[in-house]
Amino acid sequence: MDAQTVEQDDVHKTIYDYLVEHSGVNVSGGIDPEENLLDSGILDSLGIAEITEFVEKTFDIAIDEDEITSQNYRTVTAFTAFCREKIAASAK
Amino acid sequence: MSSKVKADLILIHAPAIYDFRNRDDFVLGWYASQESSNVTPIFEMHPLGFLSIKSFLGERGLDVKIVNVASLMLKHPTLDVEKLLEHLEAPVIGLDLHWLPHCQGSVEVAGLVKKVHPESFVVFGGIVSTYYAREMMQYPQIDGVIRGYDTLEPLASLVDQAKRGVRGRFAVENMIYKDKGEVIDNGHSYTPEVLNDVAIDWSKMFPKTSSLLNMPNLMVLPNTGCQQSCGWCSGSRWAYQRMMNVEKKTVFHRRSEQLAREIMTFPKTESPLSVYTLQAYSESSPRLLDYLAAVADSGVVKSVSFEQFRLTKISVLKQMVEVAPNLDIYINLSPQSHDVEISRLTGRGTYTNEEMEEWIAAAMDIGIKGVYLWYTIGMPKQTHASVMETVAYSARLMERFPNDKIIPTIFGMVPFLDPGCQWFEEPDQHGYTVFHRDLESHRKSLTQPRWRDAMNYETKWMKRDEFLPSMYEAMQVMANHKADYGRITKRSIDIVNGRIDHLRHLTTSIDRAMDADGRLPASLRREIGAHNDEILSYAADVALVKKPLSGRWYDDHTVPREIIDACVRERAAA
Repeated sequence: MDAQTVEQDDVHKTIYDYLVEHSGVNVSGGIDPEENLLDSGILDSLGIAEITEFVEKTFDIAIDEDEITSQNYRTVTAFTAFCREKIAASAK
Repeated sequence: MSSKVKADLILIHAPAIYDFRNRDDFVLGWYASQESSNVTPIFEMHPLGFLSIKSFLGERGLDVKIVNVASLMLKHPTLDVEKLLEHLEAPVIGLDLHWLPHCQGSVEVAGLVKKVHPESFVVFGGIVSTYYAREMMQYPQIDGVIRGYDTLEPLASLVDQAKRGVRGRFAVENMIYKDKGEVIDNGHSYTPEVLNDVAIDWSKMFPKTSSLLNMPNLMVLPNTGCQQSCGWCSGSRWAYQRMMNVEKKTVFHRRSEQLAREIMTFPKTESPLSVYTLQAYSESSPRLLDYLAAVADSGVVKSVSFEQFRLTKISVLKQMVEVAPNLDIYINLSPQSHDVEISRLTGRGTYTNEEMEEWIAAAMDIGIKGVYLWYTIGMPKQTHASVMETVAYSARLMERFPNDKIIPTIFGMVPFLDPGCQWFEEPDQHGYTVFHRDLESHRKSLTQPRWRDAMNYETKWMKRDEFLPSMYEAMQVMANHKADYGRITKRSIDIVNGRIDHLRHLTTSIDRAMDADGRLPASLRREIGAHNDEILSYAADVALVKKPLSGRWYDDHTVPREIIDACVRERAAA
């Protein structure tokens, strides 16, 4: 996907849909955008590695190991914001 | 030269093989341990005992520093190890030889230590060191071995004496050592009733912020020894009675007060903290519950795991959930085989599969978060067909519990059967053949091109040549079942299949080349080298998720950046 074509809502929806499909726990009731993905088990270490690889490929961005922090990955909202920043930076 | 790391005692953890870097003459494989631990095939995790030693001697006013050479070599591939060792300074330098796969690397690194610090007393400890203590005296670089399951007092005594200038005739219990070339054996009389009477300080073991790929986890060891006599285990009752100078009592617990103190040091981490409780099977229910309540009260732990031999009583499971409602509780069972006859022969088999399944259903209802099941290849009466039936049973189990975290894992008991265990000592009686008996044979075996030559045993039911193909098939089919039942993702399984297929190609190519003319062609060596470089570049778990080689409790916390830079630069310049 060309980074410049990624609309903000698309980023959120892409991440949300991925998490619902690949979550480590049952999230059939949906995921609250502010729910802690780490404490809830929606993301474990395997899930973190996989969603990182997924957004890197999908949004054509590069994420450093030291950016894979609980601050950036804590909630859908936080992770979406982080990805948007990376997309914006890569488009410059 | 830049600054030095000085201490009264420096504890060094060596890689399994020295030097593992740039090797293209044997394959570093994905065999077993990486399934359960976030380590590479050079086993950079040092024994927990290092931390106990540091705390215990620290309380006696002795300064102990831990230098994880294995971890540093992985993280800094151009590190000049000899230069690094020159920056260390201590009257006593200790190395662990606790697990046999370290037999090559630990003795080699001891040689480097002795070369640059001939005046320091080089001492070893650990279960394998205890077993091979006398043989180890033949190596000029090893000055002494302290035997036993708890070496805190003897080691404190040695360091205290060495610090005061004593260089011979040490009054140190459990130590065998050399004094001007003469081997002196002080016997094995120190067998304390209470294990490691000290609390590990975990407060500074994790970086303030670290990559989430390495979720922080730590281990607690509430006891050592065992009441069970599993034939393959050198920590068993049978083995302890022959190695550790103990008779009726073969389990040694730590004091509850020390466990409570230790739990108080658990740090508040940015990422969820996990605690693995080793040997929980030897704990009484009241102690287990008290421990769990204390972990819950710490307020910093997300999940806690327990090892259990038997199916924990349902009433106890209920109490566990009640005392720790906010913790994710995982139970680890190790039936070893789906076949109850084989399971019994291994020392387990106290329940049938039907009983286990009913227990799992009840445990899930109560609120236990998940159950890990461990199956092992290399057991008595176990054929390849039996191994694959274990895998098939695991699939049926996952099918029965589609939405629960029931995680079966199978791995090979490779490359070694523990020296000191019953089957190693009485192989014929149990259907085993042992190929390497002494330490030196094991050391040499680890760098053989052919994987099967490293193995120190085979069984009447599975020969050495059969192990690797059987392991790869079992692990691959198991991983695919896990993907089918949602335990790992479809994307991960592609990585697993690719990795195992490539390892299969490399190991069969090596066998073919060695059979043909006893050497590895250059093209194959390049392939092996590239594979080894990749597998060592990250720690990988079952799905081969690449994880950074840092942020783990056993990574090096001691050597300052300036020393590392100096050693890396100097080697690069050379």
